[in-house]
Amino acid sequence: MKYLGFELPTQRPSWARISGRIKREMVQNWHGYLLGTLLLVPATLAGELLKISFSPATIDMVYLLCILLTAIFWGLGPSILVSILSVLAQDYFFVLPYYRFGPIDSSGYLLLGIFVFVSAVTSYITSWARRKTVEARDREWEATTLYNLSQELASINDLESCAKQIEKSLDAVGLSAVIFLPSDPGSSQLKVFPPELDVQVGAAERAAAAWCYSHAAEANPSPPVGLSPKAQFAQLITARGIAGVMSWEAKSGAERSTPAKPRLISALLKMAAVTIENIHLAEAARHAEMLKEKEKLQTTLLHSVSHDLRTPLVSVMGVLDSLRNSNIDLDEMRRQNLVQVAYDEAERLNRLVANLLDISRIEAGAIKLSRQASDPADLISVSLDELGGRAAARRIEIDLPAGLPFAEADFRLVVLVLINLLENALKYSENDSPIEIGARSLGGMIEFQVADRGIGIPSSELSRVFEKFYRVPRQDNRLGVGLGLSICKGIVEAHGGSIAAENRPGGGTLVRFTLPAFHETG
Amino acid sequence: MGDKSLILVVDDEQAIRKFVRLTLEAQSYAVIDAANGQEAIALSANHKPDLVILDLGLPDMDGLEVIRALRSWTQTPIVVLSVKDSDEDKIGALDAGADDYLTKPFSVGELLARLRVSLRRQTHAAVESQFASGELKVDLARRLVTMGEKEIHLTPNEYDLLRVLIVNPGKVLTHRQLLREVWGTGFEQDFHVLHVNVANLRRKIELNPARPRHVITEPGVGYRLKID
Repeated sequence: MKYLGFELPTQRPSWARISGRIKREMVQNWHGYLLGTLLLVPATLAGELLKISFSPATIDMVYLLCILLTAIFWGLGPSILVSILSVLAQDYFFVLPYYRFGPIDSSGYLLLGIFVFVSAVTSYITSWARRKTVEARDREWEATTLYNLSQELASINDLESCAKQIEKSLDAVGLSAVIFLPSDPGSSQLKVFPPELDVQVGAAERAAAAWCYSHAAEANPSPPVGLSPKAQFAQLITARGIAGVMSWEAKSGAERSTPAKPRLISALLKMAAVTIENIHLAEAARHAEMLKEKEKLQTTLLHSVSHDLRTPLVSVMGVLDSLRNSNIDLDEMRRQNLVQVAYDEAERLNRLVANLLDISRIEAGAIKLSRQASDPADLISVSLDELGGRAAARRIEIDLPAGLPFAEADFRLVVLVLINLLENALKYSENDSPIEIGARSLGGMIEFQVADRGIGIPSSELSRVFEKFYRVPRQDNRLGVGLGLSICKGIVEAHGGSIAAENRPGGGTLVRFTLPAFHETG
Repeated sequence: MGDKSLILVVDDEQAIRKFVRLTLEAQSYAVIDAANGQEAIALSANHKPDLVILDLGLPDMDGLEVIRALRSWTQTPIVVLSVKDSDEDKIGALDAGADDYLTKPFSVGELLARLRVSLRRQTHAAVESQFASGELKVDLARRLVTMGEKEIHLTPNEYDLLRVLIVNPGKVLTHRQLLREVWGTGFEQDFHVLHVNVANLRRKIELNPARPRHVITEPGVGYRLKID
């Protein structure tokens, strides 16, 4: 893992800094000094009381005890002070002449030396123990943080949430972090994630991030002199290369980082890099899957459409070929029959081509509606006329209430919808069964209904029949390529209406669609 | 008919020119053809056809230009051939002076019917004041409309609408043309008013208003009075 420090150069400790630190420590720990000193009072009193029975060496032990306690509770500074004060007190109170400072002889200095030594060792051991405890607690907390983070990241599958999660974890450690990721896979333009943080990132930081990202390949990159961002930067590296850049800095007001943090940060970086890579891989997999599906669909489509376009032509050409072949002798009736067959097939081809054109236009959003007040009775009448003989042979019942308002619609397109629905009704019902067409006012809409008593649609397929190229799985479904209903849907929805199919109690299909009612303006 | 009319067929597709020619000649019409607009105008000027069948999708000029050019000196009936779904083309052509239209692919029966209608109006220049179709009888001179024995009472607008249709028998009239003729200029946008009046008229003069036989809707374009 490459860790690029843009750290502020650490200054070498000068005397000023050291004495500054000592002064700060003394100010912070003033109570330690005070209490340590106060500890000597009962010790001295006890010594005074017991001066007669105990030897002078005993008081040294008592003072040693005080020093120990001071070192344990309040650290090196106070314990050194107490050491010095003990030696002085011992000289004053317990060495002849009593209650007077006599000269400190070599044993006194030895005592002082031992006291100081003990202070130092004790306070060092104590602070070491304390540090270790803190470290252990820190590590435990680190491990918990990393565990929690990995749990969170496991369920995340978009880059924004991943970035938010990582930044949240670092925030808990007192660092404000920003993640830079390429705006598109493979591009070298970096974007801030999540986007809300973009305003907080300055130009220097962006430049540093860009530099970091582009120098991923170098073994020992050294940042150019010009870059001087406020934060630290590191690259997020995965097996496939660099995934992004993360920057962090201490939050204003937070304590400076303890030794535990770099380890945590590098662990977070690794986790971030891996998660980001996983998200990218998942995306790539989805994309590949989608392309495969699309290709499969296109191949199926192509086969279906080319078959359906060719089939009528086979009949037409076959008939024409027979007719022009002088070897084949046909009587007039047969000739007429053949010609009728060819004509019907050609009409079918014409309808298919028209449907394909219509659906392409709908898909391309190129349907231009010329809306006008359209009389529902007229719409139905024209549709039936267009169907001609096919409809004339069947029993068709029209139900239109008096005073039905006009619809606001493109006349010709709605006729197309009705023709499609009627053709389906004719196709999928018996010749002697009735077909019902009606319309009614519904809210601000006109609802049209086309119903048959035919074979119906399996209820699981009811919502799917309006899909492009969808055909209800049935043996007799050779006719048409499955575009009719999707064209209806496209037209109806372009008007702001809706269309749905349902099965009728008693058998058959009912298709309803709505169109806005016409309102006179002005 | 005795003397057969001369028909000019204009279409850039050779196959179409061929089959239309064959069809028309089989009906004893005389046919000349052109493959583009320039040729059409020239042939028109030189041969004075009785009717022009004009494809709107010509290579060298817009069909509308040809119509306008012809209309600048002649009232020869023009029947345009248009591609499906191009309502604007049809309406534009009709407004520019064409008499009727056919949508490709068209049936030969329809073509011949439209030709007959347009040519009849040409030869019967004087408009008859009596119209009869089925049970419907209209006497334009006395402003009398009857269905069988019953007299039908129409509002002024309904009557005018019927009258305009009768005066242009068999010919498609665009919504705008009808609005202009009946309601006057400035009302060409009130399609709704037109549709309502047509619906009312149908209710009064059609045997089955739900399946009109006299006033026929030309989807997206206008209305036409059907004649036998």
